[in-house]
Amino acid sequence: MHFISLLLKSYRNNKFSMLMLIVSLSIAVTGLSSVLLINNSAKQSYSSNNTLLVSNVSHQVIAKQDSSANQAPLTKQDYVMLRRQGFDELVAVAQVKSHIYTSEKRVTSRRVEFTGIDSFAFTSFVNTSGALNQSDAFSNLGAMNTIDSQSALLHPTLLAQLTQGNDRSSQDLFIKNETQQSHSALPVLRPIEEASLGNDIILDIGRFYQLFPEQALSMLLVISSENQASVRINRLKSQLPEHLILAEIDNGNDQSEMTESFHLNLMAMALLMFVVCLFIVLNAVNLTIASRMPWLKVCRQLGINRRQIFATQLAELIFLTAICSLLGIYLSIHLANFVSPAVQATLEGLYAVELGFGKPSLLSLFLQVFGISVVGTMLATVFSFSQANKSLSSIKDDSTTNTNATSTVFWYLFGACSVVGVLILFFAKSLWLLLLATAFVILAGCSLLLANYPKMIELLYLCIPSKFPLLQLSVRQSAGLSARTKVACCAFFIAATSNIGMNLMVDSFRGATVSWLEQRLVSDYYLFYEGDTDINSIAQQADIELIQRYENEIEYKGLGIQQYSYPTTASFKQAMVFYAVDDVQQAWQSFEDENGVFINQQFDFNFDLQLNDIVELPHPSTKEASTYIIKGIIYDFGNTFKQVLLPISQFDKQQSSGAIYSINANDEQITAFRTRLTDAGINHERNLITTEQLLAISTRAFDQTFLITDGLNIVTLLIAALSLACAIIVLMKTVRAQNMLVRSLGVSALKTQGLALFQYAVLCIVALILATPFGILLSWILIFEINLQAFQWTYPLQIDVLKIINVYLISLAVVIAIIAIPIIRTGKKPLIEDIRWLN
Amino acid sequence: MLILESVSKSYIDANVRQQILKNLNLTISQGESISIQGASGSGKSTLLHLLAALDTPDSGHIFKQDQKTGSQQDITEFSETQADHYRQSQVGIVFQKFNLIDCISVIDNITLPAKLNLPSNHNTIDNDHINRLLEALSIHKLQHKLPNQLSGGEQQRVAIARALSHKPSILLADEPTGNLDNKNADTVSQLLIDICASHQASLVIVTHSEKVAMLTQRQLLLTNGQCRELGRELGQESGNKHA
Repeated sequence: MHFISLLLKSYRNNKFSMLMLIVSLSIAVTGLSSVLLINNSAKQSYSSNNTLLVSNVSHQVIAKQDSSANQAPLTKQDYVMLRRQGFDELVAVAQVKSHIYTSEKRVTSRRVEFTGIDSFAFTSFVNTSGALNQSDAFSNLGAMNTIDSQSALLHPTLLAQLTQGNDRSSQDLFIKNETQQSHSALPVLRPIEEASLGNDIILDIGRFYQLFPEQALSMLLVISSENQASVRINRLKSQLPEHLILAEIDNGNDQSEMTESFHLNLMAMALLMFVVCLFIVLNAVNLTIASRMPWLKVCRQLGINRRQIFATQLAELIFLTAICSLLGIYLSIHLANFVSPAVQATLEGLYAVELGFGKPSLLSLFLQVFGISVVGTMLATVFSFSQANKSLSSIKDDSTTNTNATSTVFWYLFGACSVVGVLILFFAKSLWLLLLATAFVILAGCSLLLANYPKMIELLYLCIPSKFPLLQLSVRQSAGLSARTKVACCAFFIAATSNIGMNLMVDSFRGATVSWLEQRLVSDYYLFYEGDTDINSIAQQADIELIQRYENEIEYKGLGIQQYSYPTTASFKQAMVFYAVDDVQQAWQSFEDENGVFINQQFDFNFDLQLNDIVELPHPSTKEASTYIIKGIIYDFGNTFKQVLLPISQFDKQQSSGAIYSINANDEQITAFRTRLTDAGINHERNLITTEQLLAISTRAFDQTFLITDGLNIVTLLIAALSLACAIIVLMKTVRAQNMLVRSLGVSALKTQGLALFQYAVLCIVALILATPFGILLSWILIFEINLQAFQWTYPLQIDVLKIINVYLISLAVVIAIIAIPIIRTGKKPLIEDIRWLN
Repeated sequence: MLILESVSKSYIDANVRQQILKNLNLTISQGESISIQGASGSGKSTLLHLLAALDTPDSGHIFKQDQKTGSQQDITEFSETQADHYRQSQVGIVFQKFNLIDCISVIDNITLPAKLNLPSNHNTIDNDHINRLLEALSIHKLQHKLPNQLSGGEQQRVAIARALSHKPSILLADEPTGNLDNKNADTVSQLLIDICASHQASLVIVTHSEKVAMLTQRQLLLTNGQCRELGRELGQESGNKHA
């Protein structure tokens, strides 16, 4: 008890150090909690989105999708016919994506998915059969009981987005039907708090068809009760018309690699934050114990045993962790709400998944966060105490550590981590292993840094002329500091490595994308139009050259592929950017002869294809299986789909459709074309854009996608700087005596502060120098291994020295800005106070 | 030469003002050695801090007189920059706890003040002077060692060499033998006095040791904020100790 009261009294003397410990713990918990919140929300809404209408429904009736030209859709007549045959368990669903408008403008940035469901059939079946209990995921749609033809359900967040937080009435919202050139007002929008409702609006199928009269049914859900399921499903199967099939629904077990990448990304984010938090906690605990060491030694001399000291401090840290967990969760809720739209937009952009607005349980979040934080705190306490045990045993200062032996240990660690990292990189076939290899590479870098810190600082010392004794002294003091701030220095090294690596990766990607776009976009204008109006005839009237890109959705080895036409004019040939090609002339000849095709990297890497491999694909016009030789592999950045290009001559212009038109025209022609488009009811302001506008849009979209990367870079830097600041506050007592001495020799307070900053800047510069090769290595792994595995595309690595210098300057500026606070705070004290304190 | 005129200094401790020095008058001649004794808290270290321009008095003046020109400067009126320059060029301080910089070698510790004091057009320090100090203090064999490889006595000798390396006009020693055993204390004290005498530097040494005090030319007792000359009080002739 006496020790506990002593511990509490020590808070008075270590206010700032305790504050830093609490701030560090709170930051760690806030970071971890925010990532868990965003992840849980994204996962919950993503999985709910996939199972919105299919949970506990194992089958659905859909239209057959084969390569034959005469595909028949699923119609209302099919539904009526099947229900008349007694299949009451069938519920019709129709889905379509559309933008929403007000009289002034479009209000949706991405298209909202409208889902029409036969609410009468659904509710009557649920009420009469009792097939579904309330705990079922289907109870999600319990509100369907109350839905009528005048209302629609949506998530409150989406409603707030549409109405701009009540600034605009939902009655002003409508959708456009471009083929009929008419507007249809939306039904009354009723918000319901349900995670499965992401970017969706659910409405009765009757109302749905008032909005989208030409839309075919998407599916008929089979919601039969458990005990009779197999009998009824077999009966249904036998009685389906020829153009329909009964398909099994995979409940949430989507095996597509995009989904895996998506989940892996979320998991990697959480793991990264866990490691970062562990680092912060370890650093804070380590330094707190170090600052307490002098009076802990006195306690040992007074007979308080080591176990008692350990147990009390552990209990204290767990108590602090609990308080910080509550504070961190409160902060993270606000933070997650703030960053959530950007995170969701990035994940959706990268993985082409639809995310909703999940609402995870706060209790489970607290248990997760507190559990992980306590584990981190315990690990940090045990680690710090095992280091401090020697100090507690003796009252002598044990600063004379064997630096050679420590250096050897770090060299061994570097060797081991490098070998393991390279081996995993060499043999890894999964994203998990690649991320593990990256971790080993970074660990190898940390070991190399710790093994070489003293030597590199010594080298720097030799470079300083003897007429600058204070600089020499400062560099020497840096070597001493490096041994005491290993954890903080490693945190900075990791931050710098990831910063350089990510920046080079993003820069290479940006460079490759922009040059690729600049080469690919050969036309003056591009028109994007999905409606039924004949654009070719409008173009003819305006006397302009227009090339339509035809498009088909086909399958290759069970996976969906985009089949696109590509023009063979000289300018378009020139515009093509190949990732791999043997002989460009011969490749184009083969392409024009309709023997050869070009595929994108996504197609190539997914099926592990090579140049000159033969692939069997449906012919664009006849849909018959045809064989083609791969004559070129092309870059196709940002596309999440696998794509094959064929010459326009293979496409039947009457049957094929395509929404992209390339246009070459002078000002006069384009003005005429715009007038014709307006006459045809097509909004040219939105649909017709210049190459420059397209480039600008692409670059803006690109930068928005990597906003999170930039954010993470800054966060890691701030955390590293905070770790260093923590270290300085605790080490200040050690450094104080030496600073006092230097000041007593007549060196001004300003110079002493400058020298203290310089010492830490030296540590950072050395870490940055060593982080550079590891940053380049990291960007290589990201581009050629992880990117390839996750997205199936790659691009050349561009090492921009200016970018690296930029990272150097930003990193140093962030660190110095943060560590300057405690240094200036200490420097403000009059010298006499230090001298009195010392004596 | 330093002349203290009616110097007073007080501190507030637990909301109570403690008068440490009261209208203290004292003259320290160039090359003179003075010891200051007194009870704990009597103001010995405070007096030393005032002499080094590390602290300022509540009232009174401390004049620094240039022996060659005869000009006087009041160090209590110094700006921070002037005080820094004064300490850098004219004052050497020896602390009780040695306060060596442990990350640099003995020779680097010793030469640091000399290097700091080097004029911008000079590249090298006076190595002969440094070597003489090393010889006189018997630490020439230790010069490439690190401070934490030395004994307490050796460390204090290094601290003395450091305090004298830039040829200060006054050396202030705050209980320099407080952390040493008797044998080392005697050796270090004698060295301190001899070296200051040979360099014509004034020496003000704060000590609790009667033995150390007796080695200096004047012995002062600081009590009730005033200095009293012990020699005169005891009826000794102050001249018998003067050079």
